[in-house]
Amino acid sequence: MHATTGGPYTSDTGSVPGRGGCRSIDYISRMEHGVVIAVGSGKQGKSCSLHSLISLCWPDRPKCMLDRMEYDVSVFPGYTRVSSPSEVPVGSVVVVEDVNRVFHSRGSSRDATLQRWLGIISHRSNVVCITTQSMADTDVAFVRSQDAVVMHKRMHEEDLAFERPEFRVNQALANHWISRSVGRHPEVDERAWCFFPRFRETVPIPKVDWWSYANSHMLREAVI
Amino acid sequence: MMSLRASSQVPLPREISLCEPRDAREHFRRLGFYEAMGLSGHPLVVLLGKRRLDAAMACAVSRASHLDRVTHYGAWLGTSTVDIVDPSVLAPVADHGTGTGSGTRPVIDPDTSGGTSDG
Repeated sequence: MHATTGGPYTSDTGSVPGRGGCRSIDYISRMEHGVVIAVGSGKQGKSCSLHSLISLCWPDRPKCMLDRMEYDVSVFPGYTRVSSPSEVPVGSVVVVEDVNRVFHSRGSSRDATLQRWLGIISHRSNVVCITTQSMADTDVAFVRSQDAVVMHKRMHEEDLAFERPEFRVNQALANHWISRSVGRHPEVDERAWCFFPRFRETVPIPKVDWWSYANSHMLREAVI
Repeated sequence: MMSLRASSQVPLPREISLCEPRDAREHFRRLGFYEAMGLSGHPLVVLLGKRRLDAAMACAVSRASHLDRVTHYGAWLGTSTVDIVDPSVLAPVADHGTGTGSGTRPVIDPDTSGGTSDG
């Protein structure tokens, strides 16, 4: 695997050297474009870890949230809200929470919007970050022909049984290694641990200081 | 038996947790023979022992149902291939009272190990 180089957001300023550092964070920090997928069962810390990862890797990069539902984005400092892929600014990190709400898991077979968008994110230097409760509920267009980094959280056994076969092994490994990491570092919140199969690492991503109940329940008042 | 092994929180060695009982008996009998002959540390004995263990686990995996196979595969990888990153590697640095420093990371001394392979 090779880190994508070039562009205004791939500076090494503040990044941890690969030697002695963290391979996954190092690589993600250098991504100019691609997809980051946070997958795991409900309330396992996917959103918190994803936003914390974004803050850690790209503190100065424009950030936005893509969602057609109206909600208060002010609880996410520095984020703007957009309602369609065409509104995503060039060079930004775009977060899609619970991606199946915005892009249905089989939607690309009927609507080419997602495919058209993902086809140009490399030109527009966008990193698309999504959260999902399983890859079975996620359109595979996100992992096809993209520089995709999957970040696993815990997944319950019942959800694992219905997971896509291509991701089931790594998810089972994630459950195993997250448990081991929790045992090794009991002082760390167990929902901070993330497993990156591509880099063979479990990483305790430090929580951003602004994360609160409002962030994890942002759709509480939204109208469906 | 598979479910019990998969759900066990006791860190069993590969030889016990993954192999079929008859394969494990054969494995330990062979180990006992070489140990009695004073050859348990011989490189060739170690190499052949590892190959036989891998073959035994492959048989166990192929006989298991799919989800058990996944669990077997995960345990088979053992403790030597995944790094558990130490929390101190990514801990936020204090920025002299102006905030918690989220988003900044300490510069790591290249001579300092940043992770611990669990093995």
